[in-house]
Order: sequence, then structure tokens, then C-alpha cells
Amino acid sequence: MRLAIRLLGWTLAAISFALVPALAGAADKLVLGIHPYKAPSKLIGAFAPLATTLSKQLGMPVEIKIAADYQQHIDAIGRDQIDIAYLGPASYVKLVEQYGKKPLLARQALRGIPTFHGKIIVRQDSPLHSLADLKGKSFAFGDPASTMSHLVPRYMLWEAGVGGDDLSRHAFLGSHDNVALAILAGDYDAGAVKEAVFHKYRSRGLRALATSPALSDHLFVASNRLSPDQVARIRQTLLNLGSTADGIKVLYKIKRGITALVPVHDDDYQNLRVIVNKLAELGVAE
Amino acid sequence: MPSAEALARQRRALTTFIVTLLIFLVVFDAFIVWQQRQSLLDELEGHTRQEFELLGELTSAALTQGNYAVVEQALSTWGNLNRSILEARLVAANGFVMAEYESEQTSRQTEFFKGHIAYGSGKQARIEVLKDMAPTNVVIQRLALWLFGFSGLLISLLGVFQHQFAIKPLQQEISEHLQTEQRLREHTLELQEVNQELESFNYSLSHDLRTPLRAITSYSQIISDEDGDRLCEESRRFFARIVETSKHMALLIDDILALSQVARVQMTAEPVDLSKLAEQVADDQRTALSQHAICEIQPGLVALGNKKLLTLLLDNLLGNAIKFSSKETHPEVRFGSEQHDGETVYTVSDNGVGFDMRYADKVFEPFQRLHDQELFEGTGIGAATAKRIVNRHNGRIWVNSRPGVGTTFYFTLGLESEPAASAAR
Repeated sequence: MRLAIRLLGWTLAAISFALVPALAGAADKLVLGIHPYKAPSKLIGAFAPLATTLSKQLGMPVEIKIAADYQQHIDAIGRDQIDIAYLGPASYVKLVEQYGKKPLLARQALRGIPTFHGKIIVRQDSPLHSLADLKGKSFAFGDPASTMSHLVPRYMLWEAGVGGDDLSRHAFLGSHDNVALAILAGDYDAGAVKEAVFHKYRSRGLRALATSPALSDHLFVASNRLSPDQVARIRQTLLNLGSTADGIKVLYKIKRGITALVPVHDDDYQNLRVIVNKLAELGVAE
Repeated sequence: MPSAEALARQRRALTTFIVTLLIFLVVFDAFIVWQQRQSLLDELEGHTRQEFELLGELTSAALTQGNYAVVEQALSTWGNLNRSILEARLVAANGFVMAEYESEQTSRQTEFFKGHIAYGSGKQARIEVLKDMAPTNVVIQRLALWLFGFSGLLISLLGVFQHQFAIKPLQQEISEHLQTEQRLREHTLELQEVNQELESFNYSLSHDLRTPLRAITSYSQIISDEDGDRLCEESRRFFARIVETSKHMALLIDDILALSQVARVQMTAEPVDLSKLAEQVADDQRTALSQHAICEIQPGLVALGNKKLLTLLLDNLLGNAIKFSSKETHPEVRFGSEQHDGETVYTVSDNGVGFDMRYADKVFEPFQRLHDQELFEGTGIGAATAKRIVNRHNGRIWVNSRPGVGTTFYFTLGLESEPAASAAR
């Protein structure tokens, strides 16, 4: 009898010990990963309040990790090497394609709207009036990886019958601002920028030729490693931010104008998925 | 002697010189200032060109790569490098203002500069810059101030020096001369007075001598005539001598009187027919002329002068000519005129005894006789009187003679319309 009890005790201990790492792994800290869309120091400053809020709510430290590049970021969350990831829409689509579905936490809503548009722009006095008119004209894209300044407009052009070879010339200028300025300076006939940038430069002499469909904005996803309970708690914390003044302050630190984080579903990104797939089909490189 | 006219001329010359110099300096200074300004502007343009190149370096590569957003910052950085850049603009070829810069400085003196930045393939953006010209203008203003100031000073100094060393001495000279002239006039007046007194004295003396002389002559003559036969031969001869000498003395007094008359007579200037006068004189002296004598008088000689005096003049000269040629076998006396350098020179010539030219100046002195009283009688005043008369007529008189050949007296009459008031000559 005494042997059996001793055996049971050791077994329980062994199991506990075995579980500790698992429990510890799930319990000692969380890593919030951000893709490098700005300088690391700026990003850390932007997300620190959020990390603090999360850690308070969850009772454990939340560490911020900036990925080296967009793909590495996708890999990190894809392989569940980080716990929470902040992603752009295009990256999310890629993530799901490469690594499958992940638990979705929330998406950002700028001024209450969780979607955003892109614009295909021309100069105010341009003779172009439709996407089809862009045949044989020069076009300025932003960054090759950018959703609104390359991928979506590219798809829009294709939809209007304007393939890559149909443009007289095109170039990647690196940023939305560059595209807007290049159009204004008359160095390109048309370009693609996100809505916010269009409005910023509009008064200086820009006109929108076409508007993209509404894409779902940036979102937070969780790794598969987190427990459903943890996922739920994190999700709730994020969704509550928009209802308190302090919460909004945290959100504004990330990006001015984010009034709340709202619920998100995979379907919200379906239209982008279609676009990306089509572009892949057409052989348009990012 | 410098006159007010000379002074005016000097003043005019000085003014002309200074004005000319002033104009030259003004033009020259303006030219220098303008040159400097151009030079500074060129320098400024050169610098601006370099600055544009720098801006090109800062922006061209970025623009070529499509990085338009960086241009705003680049322009701002560039603008702040140079204090003189007030405003700058980078404008695309289609007129779109890619970037703008405005400095905190302001200035009212500005200059506009333009340049270009090439980028991409054949694209060009325009640089427009407004630069502060105040520092440059200050330099130019300072230069202008110095140049014109110095020029002004130079002109002023020149004017002062010229006035001090040219005008003033001249003015002084003129005033001194005027003073001297004044003194001369005063002296002349004094002399005239003295002379008049002398002449009066002379005249009264001679006049007062006549009366007692006449008494001596008469009484001597009476005694000689009435009681002559009661006297011895010697005494008769003595009385004859007394009479002769008294008559001579009377002649002397007459001549002295005549001489002083010349000085006292009021000069007039009327046309006088000299030829006619000479004829009259010759007639009066007809007795002295021998039958073989030739007396040639040039007709139609008319001169301005005092008739009385000129009569006396010819009387003396012709009288002398006739007298001193009377001993010749064929005496010749001529009165005529010649032209010397446009001047009429009257001549009275004879072929008489003549005299040594060594004593020429003595001829015109009163009481100087060059010949023996025995040979030729006379008082020795004739020529002196002639000289006085000629002098009063503003003329000159001189003589030429060769012993044994003859004598010629020359004289000019210088009266135009004003008679010589001065007897002091």
C-alpha cells in the first residue's frame, strides 16, 4: 500500500513538473509582435501603453517585439513564436494562406470605421477620367508590398483592362506621399495612394479617378498556443479600450484617429484575398 | 597792369575748371560705383550658382528615385545654411510648388535668382530664390559715400586753394594798383598846380621886366640920338651897345613870354591848314630870304591843333631853317610830311650850317645856343618853344643834322579829339 501511494505521489509530481513548463510557457509573459512599418523606437513608443494595459489586465508582463521584416513577422505569428501580432490586411491574408487560420482578436476602426479605401489619383487638370484611359499612360505606385499603393490598384487596373504592359511606364516611389507629390509635379499621369494621403494633398491639385473597394483595416491576431480563455480575455481587453478615455489614449498612441478596436472575422478580408490571389495568378510580384 | 577784367577772366577760368572737374569726378565716381555693384552682383550670382548646385546635390538623387517627400526638408535645411536666403521655392516643370521655404529674416532690398535642378530622365525643377541685397547694397552705399565725399572734399579744397593763391593775390594786386593810380593822380594834380604857379610867376616876371627894359632902351636911344654928337666916339659906341643889348634882352623876354604862353594857352583842337600857315610865316620872313632862296611848302597839310600855337611852332622852326641857311649861296628850306609806320611826320629842313649830332639833345633846351652869336643871332628859345608846343599836341619832336650839309626837324601831332590837358609832359 505504502509503495502504491509513493508511486502515485511521484507520478503526480512528475506530471506536475511536466505540466509546469506547459503552464509556465502559457503563463510567464506574452510577446506582442509588430511589423516594421516605422522605426523600431517609434513603434515601441506607440505600442508600449497597449502592452502595459494588456499586462495589467492579464496579470503578466507583455513584451513588444519588432520583426525584422514583414515576412519574418508573418512567420513569427504563423509559427506561434509570438503570442499576439498586429498585422496589416495584406499580411493577414498571407498569414492565413501560409499558416492557416488563427484566433482573431480585434481590428482597428479609424474614426469609427473599420475599413479604408484607396484612391487612384490624377492631377486636377488631367484629361483622364476613367481607369481605361490609363492605357499607355505612366503610373506611380508606392511600395511593392503596400496594399493600397500597389496591390489593390494593380487589381483595379487589371479589372479595367489595363495590364502592367499597357502602362507606358511605371515606378515604385516608396511611399504614399511620394506618389502624391510625383503626380502633382506632373512626372506621372496617375498614381495610387491611400485615402488619407489623397485628402492630405487634394487641395494642392489632385483628383480621384477611382476609389478602391473597402478593405478591412489592421487587426490583432493571437497565436494558436494561447488558451481560449486567454484569447477571450485579451479580446475583451482590446474591445473595451474604445469605451474609456484612457483606452482611447492608448489607441491614439498607436495611431491618431483610432477610436476603438472592433470585432473582426476572417470574411472581412475576403475581398482582399480575392485580389491577392488574382494578382498571384497574373504573376504580379510584390 | 591787372584789371577788373583780368580778375573776371581768372574767376571764369577757375569756375570753368572746377565745374569741369566736378562733372568729371561725378561721372567717374558713378562709373566706379556702378562697376563695383556689377562686380558684387556677379560675385553674388556666382555664389548663388554654387548654392543651387549644392541644393541639386541634396535633392537630385532623391527626386530621381522618386523620393519627392524628402525635398521639403532638404530645401529647408539648404535655406537655413545661408542667412541671405529669404525665400526659396522648388517648382516642378508644370508649375507645382514641390517645396517652399521662408526664412525668419525680412528685408526691403531683395533680388530674385533662378536656377534649375535636373533629375530623373530629362526632368527639370525650377529653383526660385529671393535673396537679401541689404549687405551688398550697404557695401555699395559705403563706397559711394566715400568716393563722393572724397571728391567733394577735393573740389572744395581746390576751390579754396585756387581762391587763396590765385584770386586773392590778383585782387590784392588790382587794389594796390588802384591805390598807386590814385596817388599818381594826386601827385599829378599837385604837379599841375605847382607848374601853373611857376608859369604864372614866369609870365608876370617877364611881363614886369619889360617895362623897365623899355625905359632903358628908350632913354638910351634918346641920348644917343639927341646928344650923340656931344659924345665921344667911344661913348657913342657904348650907347649903341646898350641899345643893341637892350633890344636883345627884349627879344629874350618876348621869347620867354612866348614860351610860357605856350603853357598857359587853353588847348583847342580844330583843323588847321599847316600849309597855309607855313606860307604866311614864309611871307613874314620874306625879308630874311635872299633872292636865290628856295622855299618849298607842301600843300594840303592839315592837322588838328591850336592855331595860335601851331603858328608859333612853324614860325620858330621855319624861322630857324631860314636863318641857318641864309649864309648859303643857294639856301633851301622845305616844309613837308612823310609817313612813318602809318604816322604822319612833318619835316622842316634846310641846307644850312647844321650842327654836330652830339649836341642834339641840347637843341631843345632853352637858352642853349650851338652857334656863335656873331654868326647867327637868336635867343636860343625857339626849339624849346617848338618842343613845348609839339608836346602839348601829344606829339614828338626830334632833329637830324650834318654839319655843313643841313638840318631837318621832324615832329608829329598826336591830337585825335582830346587836347592834352597836362602841361607837365
